[in-house]
Formats: sequence, C-alpha cells, structure tokens
Amino acid sequence: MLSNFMRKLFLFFIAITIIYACKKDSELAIPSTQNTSLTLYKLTIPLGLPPIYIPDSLKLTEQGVALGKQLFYDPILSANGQMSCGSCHHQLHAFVDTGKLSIGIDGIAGTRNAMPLFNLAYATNFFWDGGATSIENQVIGPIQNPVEMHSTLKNVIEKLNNNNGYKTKFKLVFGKSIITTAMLMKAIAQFEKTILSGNSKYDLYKVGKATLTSHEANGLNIFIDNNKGDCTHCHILGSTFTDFDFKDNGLDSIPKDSGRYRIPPFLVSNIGKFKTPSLRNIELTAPYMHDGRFKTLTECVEHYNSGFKNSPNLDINIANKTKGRMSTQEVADVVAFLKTLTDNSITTNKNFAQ
Amino acid sequence: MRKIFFLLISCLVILLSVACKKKKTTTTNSNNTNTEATSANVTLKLNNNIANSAINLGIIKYTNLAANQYSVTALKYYVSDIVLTKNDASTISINTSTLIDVADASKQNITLSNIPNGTYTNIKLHIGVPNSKNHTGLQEGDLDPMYSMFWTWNTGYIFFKHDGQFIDSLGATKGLSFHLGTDAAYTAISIPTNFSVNGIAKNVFLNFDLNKLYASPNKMNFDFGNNHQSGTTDSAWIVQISQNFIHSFSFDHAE
Repeated sequence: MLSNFMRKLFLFFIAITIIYACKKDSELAIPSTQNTSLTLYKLTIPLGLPPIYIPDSLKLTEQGVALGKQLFYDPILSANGQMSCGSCHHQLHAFVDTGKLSIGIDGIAGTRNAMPLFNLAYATNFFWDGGATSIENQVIGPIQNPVEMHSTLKNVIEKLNNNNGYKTKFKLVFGKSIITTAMLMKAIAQFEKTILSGNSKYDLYKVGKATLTSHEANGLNIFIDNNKGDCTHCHILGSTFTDFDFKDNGLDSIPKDSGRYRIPPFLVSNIGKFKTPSLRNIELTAPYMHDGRFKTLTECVEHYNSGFKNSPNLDINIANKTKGRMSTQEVADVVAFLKTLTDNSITTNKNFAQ
Repeated sequence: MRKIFFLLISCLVILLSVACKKKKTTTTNSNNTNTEATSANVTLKLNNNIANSAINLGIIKYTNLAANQYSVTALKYYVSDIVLTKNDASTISINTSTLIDVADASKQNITLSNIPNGTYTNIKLHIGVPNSKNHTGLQEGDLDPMYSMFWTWNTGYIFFKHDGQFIDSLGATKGLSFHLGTDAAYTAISIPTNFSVNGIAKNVFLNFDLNKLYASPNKMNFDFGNNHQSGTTDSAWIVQISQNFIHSFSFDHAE
C-alpha cells in the first residue's frame, strides 16, 4: 500500500503529465506564420498629427517596411523593368511627379495628376475618386494600369517568386515560401504607412515654438474666415488638413472627368467630385488639381476667389460666395500661410529614401 | 521505494503515449471512408458551352439570338455560396468562391466536401463574389487578384468576364467585352436537379450556355453595346444580364 505522501506524489506526476500534454498542444496551435525574429516597427507620430490605428493583421514590422521600401523603388514591378513607384512619386516633391500628368512605360500620359504619398495611414480611400478602398488595394492599381507600369500581377508575382532575394525576405516577413499578391500589397502598404508629415512651421507655431510673419498670420485669418477664404470647410485646420471627402470645386461648368461618379453606386450627385487633397506640403506638390491645370498656389487661391464656375454639384460653400471677395494682397497672404505647412523633413528623411 | 518509482515512470510513459495516440486515432477516423459512409464529396462540373457546342477560344464562329457573329477570347466567372436542397426541404450551405475559367481545364469544377447522403432536388449558386469578400484584394486562392478578375480602380471583383470580338452590322470586326461586377450584380441562380448521394463521390454536370445569357428574357444585340463595364454610365445591361443568368444554367446529369 502506498503511503499518503507517495499517493500525493503520484497524483502530482499525473497532473504534470496532463498539463505538459495540453501545453504542448497549445504551442503547436500557434500558426507557422508567426515569426518571432520580426521586430515591430515603432511609428513616430509627428508633432501635428493624431495617433494612428493599425489592426494586428496589418501591423508594421521593421522587416516588412524595409521590404516594402525595396519594392517601392524596384522597377521589377513594371512590365519593361524600367519604372518603379518612385519614378512618379519623388521624395523631393513630397512624393509627387512635377508633370501635369505622369507618363507611363509606353510613353502614354495618364488622365490625372499624381497624388502625394504622406499621412496615408489616416486615409480610408485612395485615388482622386476614392475608388480603392484601402491602401493595400491601391498598391496594385498602378502596377497594372496600361498608362502606368502596364504589368500584370501574374507576371510580377512570378518574377518575385523567381528572385531568391525577395523569396527570403517575403518568407521572413510573412512566414510563407510562396509569394502571393496579398503579401506584395501588404509589404508596399507597410512602407507607405510610415511616410508621415506633420513637422511644419505651422505645427511649431501651434505649440508656441515659432512665430508667423504678419502676412502668414493674416493668411491664416483669411483661411479660416467664412466670408473670405473659407478654406476650412474642406481643408480642416490642423491634423491632416483634409476632410477626406469628395467635392466639386467648380473647375468646369461641365466636368470633363466625371470623378467620383464612376465609383458605385454611380450617383449623379457625384459627377465632377474629387478628393479633397491635404494642404500639407502643398508648396512642394505643384502642379495642382486632379488634372494638374494650375501651376502655382496663387492660381489655386485665385480660383476659389474669382475663377470658380457654376456646375450642378458645385460645393455649397463655394457656390454661396461672392467673386473677387479677396484682394490680391489677401490672396498672397493665404499663399504665404499655405507655405507654413511645408515640412522639409519629408524630403530629406533617409527612412523614405531609395 | 524503487518499485514505486518504477511504477510512476511507467504511468508517465503510458499517459504520454495515450495522449499522443488519441489524436492520431481521431484523425484516422475522420479520414476513413468505409462502406457505411454517411456523406461523400460532390463535384460540380461546369460544362461551359455555346448552343451545346464546346467553346473554341479566339474564333468568330458563334451566333447569338440577335444574329451577331462573335468569338470568345476569355470567359471567366466566380461561383459563390452554394446551397443544396434535399427532397425533404432541408438545405446544406457551402460558403465558397470558385473561379471558373474556360481557358483552364483545371478550373471548371467545384468540389463540395462531405455532402450528406440523400436526394437533392435543387442547387442554388451565385454568380459573383459576396459583399463580405468583394471589397478587399487581400485574399488567397481563387480570390488572389492575380487572376485578372479584380478591379483596382474600383476595389472589387469582376464577377463575370467575356472578352472576344464580333462582326457588326456594317461587317467590321470589333472588340467585345462584358465585365460584370459591383455588389448589386451578385446574382442567385436556382437550378432544379435530380441526383442522390450514397456515400460515394459524385460528379454533377451543370450546363452554362453563353448564347442563352444573351437571349432570354433580354435579347442583347452587340451592335447596341459591345463594351460593357460595370462602373460606367450604362448600368441597364447589369440588370439585363443578371436576369438572363437565371436562364443560362441547367442540370444535365450526375454520375
């Protein structure tokens, strides 16, 4: 007969055995895609910007961001191997092209002005008409567009899978040995989400670390004055300087480009509406508007002062304005204020450079 | 003491081996297909045809109801969310999205696993990709965007694609393109069937006649529209095609 102590010891051994068996099972249940050698990417939020929410399934890692940057600057994504994302999105110009329209690999121009790439982690739809519903979904647009990189995803994924360097990196980041489109989308999006810009003179001014000149200060007053500039209905003051909405700003009485209308549910009330762009770094992103029609900021502000045309969907905050309500000096002051939104670090940050 | 220690070690070994064995046994049982199986795999085989003829890609040799002569260079579509109805009115739902591609012999079947034994009187299927999966390209398998069935300018899947050529009323050869998509175009099709499952894998043959898609109830004349893209201003054709889909599928036989 076992002693009381021995009985306890026996039960203890059984318990340990069962616990061990269970633990082993739960450890096995961890998906193979979890990779402990990945380092989480620490996103540093600039002065003037709010926190960013990124779901776990799309979390940023050092290795993922580095892979995304390599892909962003690699012409392997284009059909002829000569054009990368960076070919039309220049860091020096807050990631836009300086041309009115961008020219694709076949020498054909697109129909809309290249959009800047910064603070995209806050946006929920992409392109001038918002047709892409996430940054990941946007990524594969230009790769396939016949007037841009004119490739096919099948071709690109095949090229990447035949490249040992990429195979190793994708395996490290996503834990899978076959590269898929979803992995390509996530990697480039990871890099793009790190491009943040919110360290402008205006941001410093807001925290009392810079002083606006009299022209800049006057420009700010006109910018927010409902009877003058009235810019803040769409370009919300501070943060991202956009309402992320779509507006017809009176460029044409009959819009040549239907804009948001071509996106379901095809509302007639969306004809001629385009995304409100951010005004941050606007000094760096000429030319302006969805078709690049304006060369200077003065032309842009003057458009809202006196140039806008009546159109069926013209935004009410433009439609109800008297033309010529701002003097030439006031227009110049608004432009001076807009230049305080320039964050030069975006053009020099090595993390974003090729 | 020594005896007791030996006993403890023996117990440990037995416990561990039982724990391991149990898992193995379960796996074997689920894979076992013995003579008394209560279910079997059912493979839907899509016989894509034009007026009962096999489709030869790239040749203008077909004639629709509107007397347009036309060809097919690509014919692809998604089949999603299948519901099988038994003769006792009970149903089995399978959430799946499968790409059917006429150009690829390996992409003309939909395998439904472990379908319970019984007599099936109806198959409901959907043309397209359901709303829950239609707004992101971050998907694998048949929904990987690399199959050229995913729009990037307007995030969403192309539910049905027919590319080809046709000869217009003046005798000129023109391009032909039907790219159907957007949530509103997700179309349910109910196909009366008569087949039974008896524990043995079964093939169920379904016909899809492209000519019927352009015939009934809405006669489509390519002369009055040869480039149909969901997301352009002419959306009437989306409704017409959706109505016609219902009459384009039929049950052939099962074996």
